[in-house]
Amino acid sequence: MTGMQWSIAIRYIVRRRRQTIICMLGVAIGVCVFVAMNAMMKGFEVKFIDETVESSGHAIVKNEPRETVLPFLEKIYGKEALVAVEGQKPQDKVAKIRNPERLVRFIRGLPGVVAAAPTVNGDLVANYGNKQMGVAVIGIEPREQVRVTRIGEKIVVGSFERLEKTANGVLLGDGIARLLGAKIDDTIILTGPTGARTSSRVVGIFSTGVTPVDYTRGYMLLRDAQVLLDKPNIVSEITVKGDDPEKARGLAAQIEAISGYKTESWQEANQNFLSIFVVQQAITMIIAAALLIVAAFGVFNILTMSVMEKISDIAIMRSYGLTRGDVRNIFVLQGMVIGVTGAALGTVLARLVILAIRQLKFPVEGLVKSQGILMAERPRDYATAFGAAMLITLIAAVLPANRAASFDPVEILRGRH
Amino acid sequence: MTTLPTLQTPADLAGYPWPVMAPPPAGMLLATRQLVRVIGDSEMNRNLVLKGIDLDIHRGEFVSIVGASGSGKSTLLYLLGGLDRPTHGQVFIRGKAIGAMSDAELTAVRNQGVGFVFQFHFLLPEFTAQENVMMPMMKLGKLSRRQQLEKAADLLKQVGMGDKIQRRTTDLSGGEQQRVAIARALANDPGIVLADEPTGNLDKHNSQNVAHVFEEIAARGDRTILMVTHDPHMAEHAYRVITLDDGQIISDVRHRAGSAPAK
Repeated sequence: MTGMQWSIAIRYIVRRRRQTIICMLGVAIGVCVFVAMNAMMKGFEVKFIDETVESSGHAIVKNEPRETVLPFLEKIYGKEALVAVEGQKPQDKVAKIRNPERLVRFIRGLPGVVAAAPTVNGDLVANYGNKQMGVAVIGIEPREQVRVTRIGEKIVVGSFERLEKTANGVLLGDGIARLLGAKIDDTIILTGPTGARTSSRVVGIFSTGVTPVDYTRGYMLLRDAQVLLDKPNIVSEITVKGDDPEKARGLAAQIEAISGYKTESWQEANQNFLSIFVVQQAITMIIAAALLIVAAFGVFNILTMSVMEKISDIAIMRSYGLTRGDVRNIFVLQGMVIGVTGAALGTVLARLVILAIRQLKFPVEGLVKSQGILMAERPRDYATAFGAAMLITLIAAVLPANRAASFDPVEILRGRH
Repeated sequence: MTTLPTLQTPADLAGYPWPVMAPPPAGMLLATRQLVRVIGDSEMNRNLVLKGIDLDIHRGEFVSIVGASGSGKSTLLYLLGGLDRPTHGQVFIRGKAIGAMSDAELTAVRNQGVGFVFQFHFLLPEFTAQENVMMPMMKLGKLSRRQQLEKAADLLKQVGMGDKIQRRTTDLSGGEQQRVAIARALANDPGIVLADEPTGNLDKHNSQNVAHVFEEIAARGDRTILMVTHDPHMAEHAYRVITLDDGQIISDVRHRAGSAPAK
């Protein structure tokens, strides 16, 4: 791109400044929407992942088969075979981890593992007055549990330490507490699957901000839960924390290969929710791409009009020695200027929009709870939006530019005469 | 003067027994041999505009090409300037056949060796007079910006526009715009200046002014000027008058070299 091409391109843009500004705004809006919407989607996703990982650990070791009987038979007989299993009953035996202390010690010694804690899991029914609801209880060793999760930091009322000191104490998610109407130090009745009942004092209420956790989960001491769930001395799961949550899949695969127990990373456990985020991101990109494409049509339109308006200029420029490439570049440059300026404006606009949205404070309840809309900006979103805007406007500019370059100056001059 | 009397329509070109093409004499600035140009992109509207033109133009000549509308004057001019390519035959610029040149080479020839002046000035309205004159120099890229500005100002002064170099072209009269166009045509010191009806859109007074500019350029003797015109008063200023009719040269009158034509 030469100085002469730039000089002519800029003058042409300035001459059509109103249309040019409108085009730039179109590009800017596309970029702004992409970055802001992505920040919004990412904000909730990051919060969900953080809280889920921090409250549930990076990986869970459990005694569960990876496959049910049906896929197993399909593997033997092939996918074309018609396989049906009838009369299958759930197994009566309790899924447990054998020699849990030994396995916990072993896992703690693996590279990349920060901590491991045994738990027992099961479903109880909580009663308070005439209110009743199910609770997915996790029996824990509090001192180990705070090393694998940050549940201790999520206590909003009461304390984690009281769980150790209070027999049959229970920590409830704030959603459960609200639905039961129970408050700190209230006594609720917990009933296990075999009918065992106990009165439990609410020693703490936690809030992770993740609705599936806060509305279903409770914590008790490991030994208390083992009794209530009729799982004496049983450890049903081992929660593992690694040094990098992003490496959880690899860590889980390693533990599973060595221990033989199904080990679920947090990614695997939350696959459904993560899929939703992927879909949300795809929708965001489609919407933003559509806006940018509309803006690109504006660029195409303005440059096409410019080419037709400048047809005589093109003829005379070709007559005194500008090449087809020079002519093409003059119009491509116009598109690029619109693209770059619009994209730059869009990134500034996006930043302002994100800052403005962050100022809004109102309760949000859904998959994740928060005060206001969570926004997670990423530099790569700005770069992606900028690059996409540049590419799309460049493509929009190339067609009219090529047309301009293809004109035969003699045909134009003959037409003039 | 060589003509091919049996060549009348585009269809006649097929299988035509062309004689051996004689090369131009050494040192000839511009030459054509068996020059044919067919215009039109479909069988229904194809038109044989030039019907085999042999022409030699010497360095320093001031040539007027006259003829009725549709005789092929402008077409001949565009071919001589390398702006168009012949259907048959050859155009030689400084002894080199343009048929052998690539588009880029031909463009470079136009930038450095040929200056065009058209009936419409075709100045870029977004630029000043000075900037318009600088355009070919910017393309050539041999002078610094300061040198380009100085040279453009000097050329404008030569054509009587020295006091209006910073004016936008839209603020100039028709005659002034045409003089700026002439200065632009001279920007890269071309040896050949091709003017296609340069006074076609001007009144008598401005036409005289423009004709005077061309006379001054011709008088210096360092440029060859070919001017297409159907204005006999403009043709009077030239030293050689070539008359075209129906795509053929019917008359080529040379006056005394370097002098005005005899009345």
